[in-house]
Amino acid sequence: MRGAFLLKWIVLTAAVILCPIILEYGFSYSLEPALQAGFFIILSVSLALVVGLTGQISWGHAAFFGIGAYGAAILATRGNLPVVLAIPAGTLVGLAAGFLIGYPVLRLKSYYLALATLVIGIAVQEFFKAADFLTGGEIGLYDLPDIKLGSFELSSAFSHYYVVWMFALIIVFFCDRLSKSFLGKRLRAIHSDEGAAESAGIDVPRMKLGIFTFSAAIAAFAGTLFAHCSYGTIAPGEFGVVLSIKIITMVVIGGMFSVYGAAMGAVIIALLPEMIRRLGDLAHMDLTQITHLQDIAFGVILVIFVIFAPQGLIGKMRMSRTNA
Amino acid sequence: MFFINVLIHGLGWASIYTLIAVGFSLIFSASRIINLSQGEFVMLGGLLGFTLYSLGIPIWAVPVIAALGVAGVGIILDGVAIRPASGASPTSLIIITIAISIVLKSTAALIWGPDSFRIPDFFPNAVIGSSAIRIDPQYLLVMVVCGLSILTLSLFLKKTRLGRSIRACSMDPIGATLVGVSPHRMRMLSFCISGGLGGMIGTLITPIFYARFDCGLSLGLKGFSAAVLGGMGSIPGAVAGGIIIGLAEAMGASVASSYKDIIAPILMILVLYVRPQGILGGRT
Repeated sequence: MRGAFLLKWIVLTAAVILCPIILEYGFSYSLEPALQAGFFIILSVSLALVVGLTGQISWGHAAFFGIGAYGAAILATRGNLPVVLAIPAGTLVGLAAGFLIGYPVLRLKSYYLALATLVIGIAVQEFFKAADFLTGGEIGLYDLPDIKLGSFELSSAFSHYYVVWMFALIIVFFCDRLSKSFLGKRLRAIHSDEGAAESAGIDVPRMKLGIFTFSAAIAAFAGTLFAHCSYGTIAPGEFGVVLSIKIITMVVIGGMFSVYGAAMGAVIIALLPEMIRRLGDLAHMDLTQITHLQDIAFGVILVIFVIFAPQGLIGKMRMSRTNA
Repeated sequence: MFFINVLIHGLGWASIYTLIAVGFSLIFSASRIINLSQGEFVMLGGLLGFTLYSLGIPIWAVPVIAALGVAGVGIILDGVAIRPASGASPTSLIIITIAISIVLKSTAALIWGPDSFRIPDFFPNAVIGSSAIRIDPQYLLVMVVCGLSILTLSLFLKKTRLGRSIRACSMDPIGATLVGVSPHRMRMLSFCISGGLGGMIGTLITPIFYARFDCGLSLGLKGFSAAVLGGMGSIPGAVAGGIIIGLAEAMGASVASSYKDIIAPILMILVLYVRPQGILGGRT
């Protein structure tokens, strides 16, 4: 088991390292979807801790991504903080936001939790749009500085890719360990039966709040990277409900319970637009039409998975393995 | 004077939110489904209304045909996406309705494109009131139609056999099945009625609001904030919630208009925090 685990990670890491080199020199292809997949993995895995493991829904995860991005970007541009400090600072802002939002909201159950998180996600985005003295309004912030290590500036697409994917792999590894640890078992117990978990001595509200805050902090960290280790621009449109829905889709496709599944779902959702774009090109559609076509595809895939494969791809794979 | 104008404006919007909230509550009480695509019904109504009007159909027939069309969309959605998933967890059903809303919105964008559309006022050149107090007759029409629809719907739910069957499903689906009421059919009916209400109001507000493929989300958001605020599944609750949100928003907009879309969510969160079952809701 240990050997297989090690092998899996070595293959995975090698694939991640080689991927951009093959894309760039083999196919002279844009790194953009691969970079996006890295961000999606971090977001999806962080949400899987809340949705899959603990059984709480959050329709506002993109808000934390946005809070991290804006937090770091505002500190770096208006506060003149070096980027290496702005990134942890932005993550802390996300952590605080996760705590402040999670504290009242997590007392709610099923429908109400879903509605409250959805509404908060929308409200946060509206705030980004409205508070233009801070966030640049609808246009957002641009010319954001890259990460600087000493005199070395990480400004190439390659370095962005490697930084984001390095953190993505670390986060996948760490969250997977967490989900299988003692703490993970407690969270799973809350998912199966809150009352039973409570009577077994688990402090349910505290655990829920803890994992929600942690998840928000990871999403915010992804946001800080998005601001400083991507295209150097952020705009409120990127942190809306559609992104939250995409993140949920990734978790659902992956099968809710598994961190690896969530990561796989993220890669699929990151590559899907590219495939649809090619289809749209064949049909001579323009760019906005293709975007809408992509959104339709998300919706349809989400419905299909919820109806026909609620256990997700990983669940399906496991089932076929046990049946064979 | 200023205050009266704000009040009229607020009540006009209040009746729109109320009707959206009523549609939302109806589906919730028939099937315990939170239908997050309610706002898209309104959007579809507006866009469909525009197309019908530009085809030369008389303006008084437009809301009726649009309502029937969107009611049909409601039935199709129920058959394609909701029925196959019946028995899934509440969370899964919410995921499905939000996926439906994305699909509707993007499909509308593909059909109608990114432009805003408007149809002319139903009473052209009619202005009620003096120069200080102006009442746009379209607002008045919206208020009257909303009031009448809600009244009819309440009577239908209380007095007719079909309406009572819907209420039976909300109280006890298994018990309802035992006395020969099919919860599946009642859910379909509730999607149909909600779609019809949404389509109608969508057309009626197009002269005021300009229909665009992405206008559904914010309308739906305010509608279900109103429903939650008043107590989900209760029609008087939806009315109370709609009026509160409409008035709060009109007053907020006259103070700080760029923050007006945050008012409804904030009110909803506050109420959820203090009283999760809503202002007029019973036990949950």
